[in-house]
Amino acid sequence: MSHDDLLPVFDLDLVFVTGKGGVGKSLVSAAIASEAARVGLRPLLVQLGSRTSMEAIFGTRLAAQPTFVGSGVTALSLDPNTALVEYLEAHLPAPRLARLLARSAGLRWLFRAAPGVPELVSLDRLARFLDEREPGRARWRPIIVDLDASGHARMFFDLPRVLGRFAAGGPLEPVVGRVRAMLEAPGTGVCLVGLGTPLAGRETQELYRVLVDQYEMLVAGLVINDLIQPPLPGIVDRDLDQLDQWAASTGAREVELDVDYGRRVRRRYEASRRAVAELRAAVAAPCVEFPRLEHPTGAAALRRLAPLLTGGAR
Amino acid sequence: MTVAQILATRRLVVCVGAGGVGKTTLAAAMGVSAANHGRHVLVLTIDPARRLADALGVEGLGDSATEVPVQGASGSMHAAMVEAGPSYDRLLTGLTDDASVLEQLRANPIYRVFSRTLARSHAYVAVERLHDAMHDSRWDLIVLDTPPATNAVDILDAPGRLTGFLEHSVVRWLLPDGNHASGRRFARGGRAIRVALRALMGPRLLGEASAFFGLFGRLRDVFASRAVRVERMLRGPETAFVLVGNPSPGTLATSIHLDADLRARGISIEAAIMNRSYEILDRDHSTRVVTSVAPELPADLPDAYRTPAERLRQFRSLAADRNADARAAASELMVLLPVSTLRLAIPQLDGAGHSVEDLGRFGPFFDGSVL
Repeated sequence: MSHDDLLPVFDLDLVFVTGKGGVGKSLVSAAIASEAARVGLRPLLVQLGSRTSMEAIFGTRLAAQPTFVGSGVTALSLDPNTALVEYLEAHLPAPRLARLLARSAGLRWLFRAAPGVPELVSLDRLARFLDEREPGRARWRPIIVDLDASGHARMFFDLPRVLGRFAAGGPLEPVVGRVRAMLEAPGTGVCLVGLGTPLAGRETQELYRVLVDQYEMLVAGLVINDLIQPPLPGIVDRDLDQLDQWAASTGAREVELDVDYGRRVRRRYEASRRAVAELRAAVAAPCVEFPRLEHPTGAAALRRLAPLLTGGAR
Repeated sequence: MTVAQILATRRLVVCVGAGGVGKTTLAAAMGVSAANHGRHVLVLTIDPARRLADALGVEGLGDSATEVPVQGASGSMHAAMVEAGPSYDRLLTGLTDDASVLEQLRANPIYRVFSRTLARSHAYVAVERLHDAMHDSRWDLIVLDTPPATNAVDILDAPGRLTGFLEHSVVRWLLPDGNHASGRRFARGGRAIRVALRALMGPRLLGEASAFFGLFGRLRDVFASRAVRVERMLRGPETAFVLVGNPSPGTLATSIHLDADLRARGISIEAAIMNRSYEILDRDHSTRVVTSVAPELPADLPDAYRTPAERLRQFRSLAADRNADARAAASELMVLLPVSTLRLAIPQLDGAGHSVEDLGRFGPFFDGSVL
């Protein structure tokens, strides 16, 4: 296992954690937040929308406002509907109008269905969190956003382009401008999460290229999750061959099955290492490898995995 | 009932499930299995990633159906990836002869963005593609691969939603010539909403949105009848919903939610497939879930081999324990499903899903029922 660290991620103001479905983005987001807290930063973990993944990690549903959830982490669930109401209150001339709009079921549908609107109000809310200050410094740093599967991530990063033309000359222009500035800021970056399997690796590479080439995002780190460890250390191929031969000649079927399984897992491990090497070569960012855990969730998993992010460097 | 039987008798199989469970691979494998059993299948994916193309070893999948050669199959297989833009454009052309409506819609910037954005359009577009595929005599089975978890139920909500929305009073407030049905109170509410929307969007954008809904409103009846047809198909006896999951805690939780969401919409899952849910520990009986392995080694084992043999036995025994744990974890979901739901466990198949030949390895599992 190699020993990069993800220190560049900890130097950012805003980190988007993204990757294909099922790779463990929530776990990695939580680990970044936990480690950031441990090294003395003031992280805020933001889950977009209501999904169940963070519940399994912290053992509690995330609230709509920043709440301490354990493992050093303050977190919230940013629901687009709630963000919409807050947006209306912040941007409409009269609170009465905000309430009127928020109460209308049809309008809520419209806003949810309209392209870019849920993303816009969510990003606007993020910008306001970034602006929060305590004496002499930003209140939250870094803000870590668990972005659900890749398709939605693209919608986020593409937002200024999608809405730019519509916003021009109207009240949306400063809003979109602020969001654009936030996404383009040098302190904003992405942490990509992938797996060590050929199919998943290819998709992660594709996503990386889109992030860098199309959205010009800074990819500050790569975490490859759920990696199997070298199986059966100390047993060499010769042992396997000899045992296999003996078992075949004496009809010891169970022993044959043992050898067969051992060999299969070895091949699986080797394929995984090849996939990891290919992914690391394709992504120009520091990489940390997370091992597969028996219990891949909860505070114990965070304690085990989070320190790998800084490699004990801080 | 087996998955193969479901594939043999239905017109539409909808695959739903959490992200990362292998749903797209299994949808493709179902296509291969059905083709091998003599059906003419279309595998349709509405997930924007290239996964289906990767799984089939096909270079690029577009919006129109590409043939996927299945060696020795008595049926045939095609695949397509639903793309919002082209699908919508084609849809529009098929919907109405009114050239001026089409032209104005295509030029409307809101339509152009709406029809192309990734996230939300997919369900609507999938509905339209489904409608077309249902009426295409080239195929007797459609296997639909949906995007991960939460979006999956959109496909059920989409048909009714769009037409419902077009009826909604709010749209009338947005329409340029205000189609108010009732009296003054209604109109007053509408005025306030227009004021608010203008403050939020600006008059130009509001104008474009009004024009868009006005145009779309004229197509309402056509949308409505198509929507009714698709909805009827989705809920009818010719359609089977198949849930794909795995025994990991996060995925199980998502699968349970999905089942609840579908049930709330009156849909019963016909088959629940737990993918990668056990290790094959008996290479001659891959459909057998081995949950325990005896620790005793043969008495005549030479001493020199004892240590590696013990470690290998221990290694396989631990895997057997994990198989047992996975089965117990999966039962958490299984107890919630109707007794009639088919339950199938598929093991970790290394290297499967990179070519059509590989996808054939799932065949024997579809032919049986293992849990």
